[in-house]
Amino acid sequence: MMYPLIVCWLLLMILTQAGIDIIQRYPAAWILILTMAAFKGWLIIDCFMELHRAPRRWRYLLLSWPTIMAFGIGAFIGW
Amino acid sequence: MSTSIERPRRLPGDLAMWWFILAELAVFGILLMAFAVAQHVHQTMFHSGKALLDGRWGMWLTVALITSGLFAALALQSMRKGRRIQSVIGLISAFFSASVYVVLKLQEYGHLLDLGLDIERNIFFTLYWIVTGFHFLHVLLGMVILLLLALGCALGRFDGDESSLESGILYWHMVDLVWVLLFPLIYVLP
Repeated sequence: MMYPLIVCWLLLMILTQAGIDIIQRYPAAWILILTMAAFKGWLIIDCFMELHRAPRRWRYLLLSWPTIMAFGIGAFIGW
Repeated sequence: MSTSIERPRRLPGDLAMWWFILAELAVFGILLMAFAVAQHVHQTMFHSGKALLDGRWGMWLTVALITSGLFAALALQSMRKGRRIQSVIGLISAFFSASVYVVLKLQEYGHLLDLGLDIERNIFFTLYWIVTGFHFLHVLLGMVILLLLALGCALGRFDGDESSLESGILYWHMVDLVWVLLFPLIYVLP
């Protein structure tokens, strides 16, 4: 039970560092950075908040927040 | 015929906490969108404003918050297994990891104030201080909650019923969740 949480934490760390490295080398890769941010949000919701075992509507409602944020931010940056 | 039995789906914590979390996410959502819209309107100002922020601060702030979230999640699992001492240690570790965030954030704020980059400098710094300051206040409240949970855990208040513990820890994860979107918007994206 403990290992999925540590794997989740490791993934969050790797994605955070990778995001910084990618944007420094490829400033145009902002869509990738936002996708990674949304994925990090999903990891927190499913692993840390344990919504992978919650009623589906609640899970999808929460998962939609980082998705909508990433789309919204991306829309204004790319506009 | 299926041989596996699906575990019943269950919403952790109290329902009231989930409504509170949804309300908080809505407020943070508005703030993040306001930042993104202002960035679209004042591109040059936001570009030069972000250049004054150090991305390394953001990275270490993220490490401190996410690690704190890990300790809090581990504390909950320990409590469910009846390991009260481990749970208390997990919650206190989460508190100290969050303290690293607070120290780093205060240093960053101090550095910006030394440079004269206060809330009235320009629109970028007005929004920077409002968004990060509002999140910072949530971190401080979350730390108080972590301490109270550790105390309750040590006194055996959650033995047999972890619902309140779950709710408190969910609030802390909400703070993490907001940060993973706030961090790229303010520190990383060009």
